[in-house]
Amino acid sequence: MNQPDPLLSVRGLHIDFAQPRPAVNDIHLDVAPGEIVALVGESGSGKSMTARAVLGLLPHGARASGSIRLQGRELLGAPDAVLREVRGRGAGMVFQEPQTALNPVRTIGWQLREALRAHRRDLSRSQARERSLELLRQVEIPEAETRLGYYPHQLSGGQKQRVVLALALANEPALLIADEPTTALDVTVQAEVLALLRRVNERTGTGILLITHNMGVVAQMADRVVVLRLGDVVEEGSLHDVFERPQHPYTRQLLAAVPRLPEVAATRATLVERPVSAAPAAASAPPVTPAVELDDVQVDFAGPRGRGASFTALTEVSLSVAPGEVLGLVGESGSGKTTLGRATAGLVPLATGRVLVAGVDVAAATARELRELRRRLAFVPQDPAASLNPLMSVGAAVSEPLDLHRVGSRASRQARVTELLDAVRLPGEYARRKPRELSGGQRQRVALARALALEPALLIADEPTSALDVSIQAEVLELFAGLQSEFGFACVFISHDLAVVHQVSDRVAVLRQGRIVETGATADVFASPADEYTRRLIAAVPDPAPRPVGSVVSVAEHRAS
Amino acid sequence: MTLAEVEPARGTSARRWSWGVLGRGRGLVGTVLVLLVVAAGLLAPWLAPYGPQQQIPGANLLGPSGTHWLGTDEVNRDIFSRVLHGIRVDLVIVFLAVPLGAALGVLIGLVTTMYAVADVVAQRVFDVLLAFPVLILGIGVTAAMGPGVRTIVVVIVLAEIPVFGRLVRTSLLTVRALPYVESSRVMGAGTWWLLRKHLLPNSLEPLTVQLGVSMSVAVFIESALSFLGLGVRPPEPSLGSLIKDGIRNVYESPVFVLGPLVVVAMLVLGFLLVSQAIAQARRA
Repeated sequence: MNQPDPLLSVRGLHIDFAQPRPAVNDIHLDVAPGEIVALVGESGSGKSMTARAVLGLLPHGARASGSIRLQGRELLGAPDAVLREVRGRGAGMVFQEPQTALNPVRTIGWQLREALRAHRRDLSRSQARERSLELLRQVEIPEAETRLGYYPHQLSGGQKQRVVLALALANEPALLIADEPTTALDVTVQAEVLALLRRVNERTGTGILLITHNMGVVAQMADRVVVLRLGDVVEEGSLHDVFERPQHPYTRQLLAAVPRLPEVAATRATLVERPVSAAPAAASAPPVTPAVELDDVQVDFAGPRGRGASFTALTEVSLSVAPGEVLGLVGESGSGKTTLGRATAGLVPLATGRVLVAGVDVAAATARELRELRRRLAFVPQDPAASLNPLMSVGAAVSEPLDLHRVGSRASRQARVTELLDAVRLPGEYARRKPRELSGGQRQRVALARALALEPALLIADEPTSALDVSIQAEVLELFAGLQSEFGFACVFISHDLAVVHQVSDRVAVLRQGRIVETGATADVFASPADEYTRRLIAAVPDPAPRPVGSVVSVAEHRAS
Repeated sequence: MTLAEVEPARGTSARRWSWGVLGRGRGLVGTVLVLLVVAAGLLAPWLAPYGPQQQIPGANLLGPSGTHWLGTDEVNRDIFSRVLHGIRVDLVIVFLAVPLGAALGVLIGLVTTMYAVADVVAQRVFDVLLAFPVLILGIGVTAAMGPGVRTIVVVIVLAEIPVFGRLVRTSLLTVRALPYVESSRVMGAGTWWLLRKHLLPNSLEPLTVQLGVSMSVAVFIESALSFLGLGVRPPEPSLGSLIKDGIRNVYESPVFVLGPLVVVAMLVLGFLLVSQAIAQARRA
């Protein structure tokens, strides 16, 4: 505001659908030239709507009022011709999902040329090629010349996002709008793309409006932070002000809810000196039968229709989880962590090896034995939108496992449902609700209650919180830890989020390309990772503390044990 | 750390379509069209001024007038009365044959899909059935059974089984891989349990659109078969046979085919609009 002439200035923006609550209520926002402003908020805060409004990309049926000025030009209600002029040249957009932001049937070169020619009809073929090469070099894609002829599927996720960035930069926009640019990427790739964004910002002086829900990304990138909640700005200020002296309770809560990796700093600075904390009791378990044991497991996926090359998803995996122990399973996409979870649950056939649940070989079990074994198993899926049958009431979903194994009478099952809902801190009358009447966090609680109905010995949780907002995630994780100590089940907890795994698990296994590269007590692995890949993985996690100054909040309290 | 101050985000899942879509826009137009025809058919004995086969002395090939709204035919029958009664045959076909074919198709599709070998066999049989154009199928069935309403019902049931069988298979394959189904499997649920509790209820909804389309097509098939003389036999009226009767004089006066044609168009369009409205509501 001390900036006399901001690059982007949003005043009193209000966006309305035919819904009770406006998507965006009253947003004021400035981006100075060359500045990186982070727009943070949880789902439903209106951050993406605000960004789309700048480019005139609001969905049908949205009514917007207020003012959006880019380089002094009013964009809200501007005619299409003006908007077309602004798109690409005034402001470029980097989308969240590089997979769908590129046209799969055209080469990278063709797409860059199109972007360039959108604003400069007179551009000759060779000029366009020249400029495309320049752009690819700018986003640091190696061998730019050969890459021009590539199709999107020939590039990795990170490279695709670089190309998307190159497309956004094609017409040298003064402002870059990046809507969750790294959310779909693995941590190590995310770190690279973020570093690139910063370099582009420094080299070209492009202002960046960065939309994200990840406080770590904000801390690493932003100059200023704008916190949105339910369509309103609740707090705005410089990165350090917001992180060190948050004014609004919501901001404080948001910061407190972020799972942190205390050892990140330690691994960087004092890797050797750090005393290794005592491993949890479970790690040095007495010789009891493990809750689950994987013995040299290999899983292959056949090629299409049984022909073609098969793909090995897991190989030489040996693991065991002691009763009552939480094993965190981390790895990037494609590492096989979900397959490992499914193999443990007996959902995918094994090529070789054995899975022993409570000492019994799942593959060799008879149908009856298998049924008994499965009573001791439960699975909590990832996506809250699909973890419950949309047609079944919450009560029916929770009591399904009880009905299935004919536990007790109808009345005792009813009582048990109320008890279970109470255990996941949901009111008993929720039993009559349908899943669509619940929020994502509530649905995951119901999924948890359903999984616990038969008091399983082993719970397999596949990214149970990754689709939730941070504050909701914090609640669910806290609940999970409470239930785990109460019920004492063993758990395989799968996550790509190292901080989450660090928070909940006793032991960690790191997967890479279908192999376990490292296992050990959580504290040990995070404090002194033995494997090169684990080290890279831990280093890549964006630290939710502002860049130059040291850490903000003492983080020790987040580890319950 | 207390988080009580932050209320949880509201549920954001896609709302399922409700019957409300039939009360507005094209859904309303379709519903009204269908209801009009259905009411006319049900009330035919009271609405029709004459019996469907009653011969009126002296009324030979009269044009439309106050007493004979759609005129009279070659054998002195009131065409308006015949159209009202003709609708009833189509109602039987639409509301009996199509749901029957759909139910059989769904059942076969559901059960065979759960077992790999049965799946392959059923799908290849469906391929064969689908390869026959419905009219050819109709001619074949008529050759075996002789013309009549029963034949049309059989033709339509045969034609709908593969359509619904294949459709339910597709949605079953999608639903089967959903997390809540897998979570039930891990808890020990067997094939029948999964079918009954999760797969069948969740696979049915996408079929509502096809049901509308199929009903629309069924009207068309009845008309076509009867027009070709393969369906309803004279003197019993049906929409198709009425068009056939009218077409003999179409060069002299097109009014005789107009009545039945309009009714066929109303039904076909009505069902189509209803299914489109449902399809649109599902996507939204």
